Amino acid sequence: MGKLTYKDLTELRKKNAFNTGDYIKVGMTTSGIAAGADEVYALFTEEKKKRNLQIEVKKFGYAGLSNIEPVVQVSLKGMGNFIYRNVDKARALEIIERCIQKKQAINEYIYKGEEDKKQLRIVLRNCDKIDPERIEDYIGEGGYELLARSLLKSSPDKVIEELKISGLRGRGGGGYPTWMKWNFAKGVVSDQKFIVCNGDEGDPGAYMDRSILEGDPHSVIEGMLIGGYVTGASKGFFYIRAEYPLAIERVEKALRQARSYGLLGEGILGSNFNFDIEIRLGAGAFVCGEETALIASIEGRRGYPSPRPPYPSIKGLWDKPTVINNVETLANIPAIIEKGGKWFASIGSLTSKGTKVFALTGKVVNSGLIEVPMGITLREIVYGIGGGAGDVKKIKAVQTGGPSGGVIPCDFLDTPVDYENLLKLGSIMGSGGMIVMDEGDCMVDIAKFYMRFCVDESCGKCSPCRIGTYQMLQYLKKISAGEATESDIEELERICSAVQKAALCGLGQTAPNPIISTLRYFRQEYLEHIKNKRCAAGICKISSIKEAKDDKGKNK
Amino acid sequence: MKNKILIIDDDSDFVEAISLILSANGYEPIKALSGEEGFNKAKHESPDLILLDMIMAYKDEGAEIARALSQDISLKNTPVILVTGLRKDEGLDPKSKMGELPVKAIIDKPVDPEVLLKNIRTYMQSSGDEHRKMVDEVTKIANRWKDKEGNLVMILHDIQGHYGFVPRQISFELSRLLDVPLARIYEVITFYNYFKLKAPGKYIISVCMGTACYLKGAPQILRELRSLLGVEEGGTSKDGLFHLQVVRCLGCCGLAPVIMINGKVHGKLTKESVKEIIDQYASKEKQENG
Amino acid sequence: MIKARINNIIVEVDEGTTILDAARKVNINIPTLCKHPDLDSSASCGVCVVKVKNSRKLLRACCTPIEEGMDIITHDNELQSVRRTVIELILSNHPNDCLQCARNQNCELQKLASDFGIREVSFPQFLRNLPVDSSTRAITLVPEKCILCGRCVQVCQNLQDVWALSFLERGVETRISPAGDINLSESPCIHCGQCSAHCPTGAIAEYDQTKKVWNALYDDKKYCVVQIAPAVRVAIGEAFNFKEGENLTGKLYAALRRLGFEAVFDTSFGADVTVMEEATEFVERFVHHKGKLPLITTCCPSWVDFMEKFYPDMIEHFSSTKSPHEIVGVLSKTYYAQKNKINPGSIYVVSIMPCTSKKYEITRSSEMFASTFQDVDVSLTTREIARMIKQAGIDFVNLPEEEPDHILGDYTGAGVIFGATGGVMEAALRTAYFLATGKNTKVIEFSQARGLKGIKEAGIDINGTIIKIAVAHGMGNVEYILNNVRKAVLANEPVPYHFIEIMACPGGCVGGGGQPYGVTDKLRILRAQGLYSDDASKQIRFAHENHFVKKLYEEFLGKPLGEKSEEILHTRYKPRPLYKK
Repeated sequence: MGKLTYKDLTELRKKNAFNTGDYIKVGMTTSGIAAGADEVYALFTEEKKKRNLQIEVKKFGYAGLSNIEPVVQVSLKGMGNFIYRNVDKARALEIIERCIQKKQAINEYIYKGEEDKKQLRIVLRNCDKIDPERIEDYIGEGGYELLARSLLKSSPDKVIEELKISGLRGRGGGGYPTWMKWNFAKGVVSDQKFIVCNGDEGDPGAYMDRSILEGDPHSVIEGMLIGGYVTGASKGFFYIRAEYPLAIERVEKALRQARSYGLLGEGILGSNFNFDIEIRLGAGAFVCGEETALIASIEGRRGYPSPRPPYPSIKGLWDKPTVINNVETLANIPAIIEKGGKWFASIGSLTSKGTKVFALTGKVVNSGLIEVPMGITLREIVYGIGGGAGDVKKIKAVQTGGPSGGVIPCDFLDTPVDYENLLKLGSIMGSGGMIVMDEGDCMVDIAKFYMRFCVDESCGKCSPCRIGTYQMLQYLKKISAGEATESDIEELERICSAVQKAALCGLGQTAPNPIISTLRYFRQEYLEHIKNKRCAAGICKISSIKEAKDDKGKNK
Repeated sequence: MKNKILIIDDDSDFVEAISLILSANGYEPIKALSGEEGFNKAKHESPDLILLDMIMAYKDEGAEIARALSQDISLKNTPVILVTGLRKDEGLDPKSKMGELPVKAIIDKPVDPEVLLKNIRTYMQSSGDEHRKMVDEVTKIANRWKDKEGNLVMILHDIQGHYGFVPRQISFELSRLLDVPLARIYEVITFYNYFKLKAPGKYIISVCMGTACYLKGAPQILRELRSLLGVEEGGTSKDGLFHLQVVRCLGCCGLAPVIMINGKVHGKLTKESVKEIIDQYASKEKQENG
Repeated sequence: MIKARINNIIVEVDEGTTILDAARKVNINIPTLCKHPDLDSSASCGVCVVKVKNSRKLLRACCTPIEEGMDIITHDNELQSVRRTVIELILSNHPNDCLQCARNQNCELQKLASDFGIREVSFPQFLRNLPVDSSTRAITLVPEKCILCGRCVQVCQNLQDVWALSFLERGVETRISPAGDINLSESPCIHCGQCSAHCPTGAIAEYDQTKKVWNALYDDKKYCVVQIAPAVRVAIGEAFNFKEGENLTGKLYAALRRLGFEAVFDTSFGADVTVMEEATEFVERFVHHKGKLPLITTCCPSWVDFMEKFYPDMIEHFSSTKSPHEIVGVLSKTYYAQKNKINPGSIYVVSIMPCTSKKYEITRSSEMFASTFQDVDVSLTTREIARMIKQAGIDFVNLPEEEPDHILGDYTGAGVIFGATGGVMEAALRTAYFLATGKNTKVIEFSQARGLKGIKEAGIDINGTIIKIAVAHGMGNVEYILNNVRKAVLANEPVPYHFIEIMACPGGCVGGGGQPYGVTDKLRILRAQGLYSDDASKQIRFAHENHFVKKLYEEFLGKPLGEKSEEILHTRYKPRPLYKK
């Protein structure tokens, strides 16, 4: 391995472009391994040796529905490609014996991928194909070609123009136009600038970023490199949650491999562009997903947010211009450079271009990661891909945006999903967590769950959030326990308003959203708890208390 | 790495002579020619043992230094050996009051090198060696991040990776090595949930309380674990085996509810299956450790 | 200059001005709580939010800079409602015991609640169960009352570089504490009290010892004497609605007598004696090369504590002269007692100081007992004595001017300027000049030592020889000066300074941790001006010309640095542990 020139890169791509041989690929990400994929992989490797099979056993970074994991891809000359679902050790053996050795397709657990038809995989384009631990696979799919093109055949202004046309907006939840952020940083004269990849995916129920880092880390690295080139930064940081050990491992490996090929370091691809990337870990603080708190964390301090202005693109890490982008945003960059901003803008809705990766979970038959074009309706997602709630209870609402978001009742399932529409409905796009709730879920309890999260994760710096979230939680507990009065809702709403307006950062400012949203659409549930001391979904423990009280009365 | 010995004495010839003996026997001497210099160097160089003269700028200065050393939390475990000339004729009988001083031993001047080395070896064995080992380990970890700005969080990650938590003595050592006030180190440790100030149990059970897990019964799993192990969140079971904590979203929502034990994820849990898993770990412990 | 509009009034300001400061130019004081003029904005309380046109969010006035054409509303229904709710939230986490609090009637949170007409806090009250920490016997921490504004942490960490206080935990569990949850006395705390001086509530206050003094005053067996520090006389007036910086020396003497003190002395006299001893020390070192240069002043006990804990390697540069009030203390129980044939065991010495650290100093080492008794029995802060005067019902405002007991109370202009940063240096130089040349300097005021600049370096011409001086106030300014000295010593070069004065409190003692609340640079300047005016008005402005000082040496001490002086007016220093736990 040595430093690549552009010519070397092109040759390496040609060498790795086509998989001509037979192969078995096992989906190996955290969720797959949790389902047993590592044992399946070990079994395949062992059996291949034992039976002397002429077949490659590989990994891939599966990023899809998780109820079918472990997922195994099989490609046999003359037979074609199959995807097998829920493969445990027994099925793995069957695949070896029936499918590979006897060349029979095992229809009982073939995955037909009906749900995939509505998806459009741009960000996750490589996740079904490559081994994330082999940079050569990535290069074979055209990886780092776009970096080369930008460096050697384009200019920072041209790249910014493409991004502007594309309409790419920050995928971490803020929805800020990416080209603007890069442009601001580009415009500042400074001896040093930074590109930071925000991998502190703290929203409970969201794991898109983790899957991208585990499944296709090089796409993010390439995005950062292009960002560095455009803004004039020479140093990048990955800020990854400590709770994602596999993602950290894969990114570390990817960085090492990129460095060994000279794709990171000095004089990349023969140009005079220098860029290198370091990994910094989070340590269990959700607030560090907020840009200024993230900066404080990398600087080795308590993760307290700072007031803005000044904005990080002007004055960020160690007071230098710093662009902080979400993992998904960066993974989009190479694709946009490849096919052009116009192409990207042709996908999606008027205000929200491109696709979005969602983590669809909760009361759905098919749960997991999906990537869909913006503008697709919630109904298409929940029923078309998710398969609905099955035969269990009726779907009540869809929650988006995690603890900063809101609930969307099923009356609005035909809403096209985009940034503005979700805002209008009282929620936000957020980072992509999408939780389906049914009649068995209590809206007061949901609001309480998210508020407890905010209380735990509040950094404590500003009084409105620190004390406001605590008080809001107390009111929700009171309502949930059937001990509240109607005036308590008024007080709750008053605190919500003050916290929204006076909190220092996004965590506090959006913490009241779940309450405001559930009150907007499900006020009757709150009133039911208060007036009738009843939780229709049967979650909140009111009845038992009431019964106990009644019993006490009876005994008297 | 060589064990470090600090010599505090205002007699520079004496200090030189002792330094030569120490160097010849595989120790690294640190010299200080006054009480203040000695205390300062003790704080900045973290020696494994201290040789202290009794009388320097004024009578009793050695005693005051010995007392100050024993009061300083980061220095009190460093063995101090008093090295003093008997001065009965000056009306001082050092030995009489010395029993009250916080020193390990008293050696008379003129010093017999054999006696000195024997004493040093004893106290190196009992605490000096362990101290050196700790300092070396922490120095190695700190050096990995030496030139990187904002390295505190990453260093703490490595410390916790090595020791399982961040012991207070280590925090003092880090404060000295990184020239960062102890207050800053504790501010950071207590802000981030990940870092622990007390040793956790052998198996760390993280119960995922993400939204999907919450909706699919994680609170019940948590309750079951609390009663099975007899601990609250953040606590360790009495046998020191299991530490229970709640985390936000391991990202395995398809397998909700989920717990992670020392990095291994267990999903689709029920009250019964969680009990089985705990029993498995407990019996494995019994097998391995009788 | 940039133009903006605030409440429809056009205002023009320099670039970088915050909305808060700009609003003051159009007579609007936007309500604030956590902001302090000495410190960077922490943006934590959320009270100062304002509306800015074209901004979706409300912005904090204390830290948002004015931009060209900004259109700002500082108060309307929505903003009032938000501010009230935020204040109510803060109050819901605060004990409601104003009537028993050290800051009753003088509390920034109380004032805010009062201005906003809060009559009811509808949110349930929840308090944090945290213990009170009086372990230092100089400062009392009451964490329950802390509103987490962060001022004390900024002061202790950034201004004073001590790092005794810090934030621990996060969210609603956040609290202020020394590192790792130990007592303040087990931490590096130097007792300077700057934390209490900046605290908006009663969370940090002085360790109240007024009861002890009342008991002594009413004890027939005790002969109570009192001394007042220079900085007290120009600040006590603030407790009685006098003009800031007004010099109330005469009334103070009168009030103290009416409280019941048998003799009223003045620490400024002690300062004159300090000058005699220290100037002689300087001449010994500088002219006769007996001892290391630079010589560093030691009348500030927080500075001494800082040195003993953080930089014990510089101990040999310390002047061994005690601080002025300790000198008056030991002289009260020896010289004064003997001259007036009073049993020294019955004398009870009270110092009124602008300082919380003196409460610690009076027992810091065995030399503080040089009279064979504790030389100073109690040290009270300016705040405490103001309360005592009020409790006794003394009509301070209308008191006549009185004289002190001159034997230990008569002072020169040199003695009284000790209370301002640079004052000790100036006073000592005036006498050093005389000791070195035999004549008085024509230039009495050394303006290079005066003023609020954190580090003042200058060369003072003493009859053709240049004395290089450095004056610093605030511990954060010390490292620069000491590093310059260390560098020179290591490289065997001539030292960059000969004489250094350090005060722990910004502004010097006038900005001390025990002074009336609400210190700002403006106040520091006004109080210092009061002292400099006192100096300028004095007939005698040289310590060595103080009649009573001369008498003291003739009758009792002999000569400066003589045997008697060394016995009772000098002290030693030793390294101290930073952390005891």
